[in-house]
Amino acid sequence: MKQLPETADVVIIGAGLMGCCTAFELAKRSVKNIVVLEKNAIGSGATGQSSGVLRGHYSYEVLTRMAVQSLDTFKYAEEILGADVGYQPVGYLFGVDHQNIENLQKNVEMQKRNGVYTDMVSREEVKEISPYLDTDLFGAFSFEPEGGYGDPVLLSQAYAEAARQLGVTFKQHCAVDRVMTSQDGSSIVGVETVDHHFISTPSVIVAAGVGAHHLMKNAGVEVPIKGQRAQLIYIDPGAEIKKAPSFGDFVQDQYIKPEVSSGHLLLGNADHASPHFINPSDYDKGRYPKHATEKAIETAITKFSNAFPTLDNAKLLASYSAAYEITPDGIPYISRTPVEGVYLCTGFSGHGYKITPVVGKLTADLVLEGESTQEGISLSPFRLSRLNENDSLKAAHPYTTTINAHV
Amino acid sequence: MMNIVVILKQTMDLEEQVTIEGLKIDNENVELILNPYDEYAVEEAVKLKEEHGGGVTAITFGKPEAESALRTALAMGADKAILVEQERELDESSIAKILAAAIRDNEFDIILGGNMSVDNGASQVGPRVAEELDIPHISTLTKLDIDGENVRAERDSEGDVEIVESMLPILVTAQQGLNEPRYPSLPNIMKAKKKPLEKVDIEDLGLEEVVSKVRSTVVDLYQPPKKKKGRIFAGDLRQQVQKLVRLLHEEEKVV
Amino acid sequence: MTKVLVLAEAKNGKLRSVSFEVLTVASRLAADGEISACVFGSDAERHSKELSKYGAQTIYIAENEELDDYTPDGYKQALLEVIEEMNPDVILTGHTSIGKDILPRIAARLDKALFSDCINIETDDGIIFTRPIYSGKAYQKKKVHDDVVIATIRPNNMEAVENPVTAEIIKLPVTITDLRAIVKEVVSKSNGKVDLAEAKVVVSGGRGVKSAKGFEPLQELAGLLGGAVGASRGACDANYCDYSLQIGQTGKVVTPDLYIACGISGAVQHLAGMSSSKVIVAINKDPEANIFQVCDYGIVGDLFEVVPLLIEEFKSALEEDAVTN
Ligand SMILES: Cc1cc2nc3c(=O)[nH]c(=O)nc-3n(C[C@H](O)[C@H](O)[C@H](O)COP(=O)(O)OP(=O)(O)OC[C@H]3O[C@@H](n4cnc5c(N)ncnc54)[C@H](O)[C@@H]3O)c2cc1C
Ligand SMILES: Cc1cc2nc3c(=O)[nH]c(=O)nc-3n(C[C@H](O)[C@H](O)[C@H](O)COP(=O)(O)OP(=O)(O)OC[C@H]3O[C@@H](n4cnc5c(N)ncnc54)[C@H](O)[C@@H]3O)c2cc1C
Repeated sequence: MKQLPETADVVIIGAGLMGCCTAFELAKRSVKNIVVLEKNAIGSGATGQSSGVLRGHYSYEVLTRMAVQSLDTFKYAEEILGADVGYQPVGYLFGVDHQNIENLQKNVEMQKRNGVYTDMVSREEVKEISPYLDTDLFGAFSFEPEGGYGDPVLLSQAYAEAARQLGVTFKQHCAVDRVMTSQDGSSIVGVETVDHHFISTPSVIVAAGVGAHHLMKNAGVEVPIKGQRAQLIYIDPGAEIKKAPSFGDFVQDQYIKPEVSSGHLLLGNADHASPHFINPSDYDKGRYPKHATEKAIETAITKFSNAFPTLDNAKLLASYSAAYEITPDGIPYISRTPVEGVYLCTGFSGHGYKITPVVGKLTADLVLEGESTQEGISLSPFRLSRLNENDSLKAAHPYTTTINAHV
Repeated sequence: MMNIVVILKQTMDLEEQVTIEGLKIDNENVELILNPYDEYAVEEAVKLKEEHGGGVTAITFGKPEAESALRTALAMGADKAILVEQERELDESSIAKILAAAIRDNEFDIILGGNMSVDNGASQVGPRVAEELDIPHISTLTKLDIDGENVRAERDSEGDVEIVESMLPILVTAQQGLNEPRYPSLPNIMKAKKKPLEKVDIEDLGLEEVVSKVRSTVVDLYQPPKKKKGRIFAGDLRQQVQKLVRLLHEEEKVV
Repeated sequence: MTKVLVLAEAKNGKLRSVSFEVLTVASRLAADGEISACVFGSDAERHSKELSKYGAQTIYIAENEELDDYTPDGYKQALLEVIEEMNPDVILTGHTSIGKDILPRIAARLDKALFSDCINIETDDGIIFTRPIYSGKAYQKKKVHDDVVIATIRPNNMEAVENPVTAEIIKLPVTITDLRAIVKEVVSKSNGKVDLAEAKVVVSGGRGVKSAKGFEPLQELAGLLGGAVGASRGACDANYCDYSLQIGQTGKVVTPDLYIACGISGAVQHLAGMSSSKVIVAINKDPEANIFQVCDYGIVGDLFEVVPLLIEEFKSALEEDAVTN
C-alpha cells in the first residue's frame, strides 16, 4: 500500500524480533529514513513459533548480562514501548543432576554477580514453587522469581509500532531478492526486492533469520546457519495447577512453559544430541515438517511423566514442529561482514527472545559506533569470523549432561 | 455386554498445505491424523462400552503408517485393533469388501464409522459395509441411544433432525456434533502402545481376486486456481459496506 | 444406446432443483439414448410433468406410502425394482442426504463403483468425472471402467436446462417389506446456537474488539446471518471471550462459506485455523494489517462503525429477499 522509497539510510531485512527491535533502537538514536522489509508478516518467522521463556540463567557470562539488561524492557514495556508485551513473571526453575551441582552453584554465583535475582533453592522450597515435581530426580535447583515467559509476537509488534511512531517504514510481504554490492564486492550498494524494486542504501542489516544464508551467499559471504527442527507438545495437566514456573529440566533435557491464561503447559525438547537439520533453501520455502513425530511425542510424554508422576490425568491437546535458526556454536551473529555496510543480526539459535532488547541496542551500536556501548558486553563473541578463527565463546562451567549451547 | 466395532481411516490433516506429485497427493511432510469423523465414532464406541460393558475393536485398512491412527483409537479407549495392511490405494468398493471381511471374523452388535473421510470426501464406505454384511445402517448420526436390542438415533439430514428407530445389529456413521471426542491422557497414550494390534493382509482375508478388479482410474489431479488478491474498498464507509453486502449476497451468494 | 436412470427427490411436496440439474447431466450422458427418471411416494405421480420438462422420457413411479419418508431399506427395494425393470447403463442422483445414503448401498449390491459428489462430466474419451477432494483443495478426474456407471452430482453446481419431452409413465407396484430402520419423526433444526466448527458463517473478533462487551455487535451480526462467533487468541488471552471460541493453530479449525475477521491482525497461527474459508472479509483499522493479505474483501476502518453498518445493510438485503420470495 505504501510506496517504497528509492533510497534509505538503513535497510533492515526481516521483521522478526531482531529486525523490529533494531529499527526501534536506530530510530531512537535519530537515524532517519529507515526501511524494514519483511517477506511475510511481522513476527511470522522463528518469532511466531517461539515459546517465549524468559530467564537470566546462562552458563555464558555475556549472555547472562544481555538477559539481565533486557529484563527491564519486559517489566516496563508499557512505559518503554507503549504496549503490554505479555510478560508473566511466574518464575524460572532450573534443575540439574548430581554431577552438575557444582557447575550450577558456580553459574548461579556468576549470575548473581551480574545482577540476576536468583539463588539455589532446596527441595523443600521447590515443593512450594512446583508442588507436582518429583524433586528426587534432581541433584540441585536454582530459581529466579523474575523469570517466566512473555509473548514474542507482541514484543515484535510493540517494537514495530514504536518504531513506526518514530518514522520507520515497514513493508510486509516484500521479500528481498538480493543484497547488491559494488562491482568488486567490497561494499554495499543497495537491495533489490523480488518484485524488482531497488533501494539504494549505505547500510543493510540482515535480520532475516535463516534467510541470511541465501542473501549473503549471493553477496559472496558464507554465513553458516540452518534450521533445526524443534518439536513441541501442548498439554492439559489434568489438575488445577495454581503455581507453575517455567522450568528447565536439565536432567532430562526438557523445558516446560506454563500458560497462566489457560492453565495448559507447553513442553519443549532441549536435547540437541541428534538434531534434525533443515537446509536453508528448504527453510526459506517453508518446506519442513510442521508436525511432531510419534517418537518425539512419546519422548516428551515419558520425560514429563518422569518429572511429574502424579499428574497422571494429563491430556495431550496438540503437538507441532517448528524450526530454530541455528549457528554451528549456538551463538548468534551480531557482526559486520566482509562487505562494507552489510551487518548481520541473526542466528539466535532458539534463545534470542529473552535478549532481544539488548540485541537491538548492540546492533545499533555496531552500525553507528562500530563497537558496543552496552556495559560489560563486547561484540567480539558474536563476530562472524570467530568460526574460522576457531574462537567460539566458551562457558566457564558448562553443564555436562547436555550438549546444549542454549544455556 | 456389547461387541463394538469401529471402522476408521487415517487421513492427512487438512490444516496442511496440499502438494500434488503426479497423480498423487504428497504425503511426505504432512501430519497424518485419525479422520475427524472417525474420531467421533471412536468416542461414541468407547462411551457405549462404558455404558453397556463389552469391548471395542478398531479396524482400518491402509499403509503401515495407519497403525498410528489405530493407536490413537486405543489411547482413547478401544481394546484391540486390526490393521489390514496394503500399500496400494483401492477404491471404496474394495475397501468396503475388505472391512466387511475383517468384521465378519469378529462378533459384533454395532459397527461405527465416520460419515465421510475428510480427504476423499466420498461418504460411501459405511453404507457399503452395511450392504456387504446385510445389516441396516443409519448415517450422519448426531445422537445414539441403545436399550437392549433397540436403537434410537437422531440423524442430521441437511439441517433437519430425523429420529430413527432400528434394531441391533446395525452400522451407524458419525456426524459432527455426535459428541466431543476426549483427549487421550498421557498414561493412556503410553498404554495404547502395548494393546493388541493384529496385522492381516488381503490374502489372509481371501480377497486378492476380488480387489484386483479395476473399476476406475485417476486420470488427472490438480489444484484449483490460486485465490486472486483481495479487494480493499475505498470511499464513503456506508457505500463500502453496501458494496460489500451486495457482493456477498448476490455474487458470492454466501449469505 | 445408453440408458440413463435418474433418481428424483421431492421435499415438502416439491421436486428439488438438484433433480433437474441431474436430469440435465443425464441428457449429456445419454446422447441419443434414453433418459428415465424414477420418483417414490404416495403422491409421486404429480411430479411427472416437471420431470418431463427436463427431458425424462420414461418416468417410473412407485406409489407407496412406505416410501413417503426416506429409508435406506425402502428406497433400496424400490430402486432395485426400477433397475431390474429397465437395466440402466447409468444411474444418477444428487449428492444429497438421500443420494449419498442410498447409492453406496445400491452400488455395493450391484458390485459397481460409485463416483461421489461429481462437479463435472466429460464424455469425449469414455466417461470422466471431476470431483473435489481434500475439502476442495484439489480436484480429481476419475475415469470409469465399470459397465454400469453410478454417480452422485453435487447440487447447485451445474445448470438445469429445460428440455421438454412427452413422457411415458410407468407405475411399478412395489411391495416394501422388512423396513429395518424407520423414521419416527422429522424436526427442523431448532434455531439454537450454531456450532462454531459447523457454521456456514463465522464472525470473529480479535484484540481490536477491546472488551467482552465489544463482542455484542459481532454476536448480533452472527445471529442475523445464522452463524457463530469465533475469536483470535489475542481476544481469548485478554479475557474478552471463552477459549472455546479460539480459532487457529492451537484452537479450532473452521471452513465456513463466509469468515468475517474484525479487529484481528492476521497472525500466521490464526490463519492456520481459517484460511480455507470460502470467502474472507477483513475489517481492521490498520491498512497494513496482515489480514488484508489473505482476505477476499477488506474494509479499512473502525469495527465499531463498520459492524453496525453491516448489520443494517444485511438486514435490508435479507428483508428484500423475504419480500421477493
Ligand atoms: C520453537 C522455538 C522456541 C523458542 N523458544 C524460545 C524461548 O523460550 N526463549 C527465548 O529466549 N527464545 C526462544 N526462541 C528463539 C527466539 O524466538 C528466536 O531466536 C527469535 O525469534 C529470532 O528472531 P529473529 O528476528 O532473528 O528471526 P525471525 O523471527 O525468524 O525473523 C526473521 C524474519 O526475516 C524474514 N525474512 C527472511 N528472508 C527474507 C528476505 N529475503 N526478505 C525479507 N524478509 C526476509 C522472515 O520472514 C522473518 O520474519 C525460540 C525459537 C523457536 C523456533
Ligand atoms: C505457539 C503459538 C500458537 C498460537 N496459536 C494461536 C491460535 O491458535 N489462534 C490465534 O488467533 N492466535 C494464536 N497465537 C497468537 C498469535 O501469534 C497472535 O498473537 C494473535 O492471533 C493475535 O490476536 P489478534 O489478531 O486478535 O491481536 P493483535 O495482533 O493485537 O491485532 C489486533 C488488531 O485489531 C486492530 N484493531 C484495533 N482496534 C480496532 C478497531 N476499533 N477497529 C478495527 N480494527 C481494530 C488492530 O489494527 C490490529 O490489527 C499463537 C501464538 C503462538 C506463539
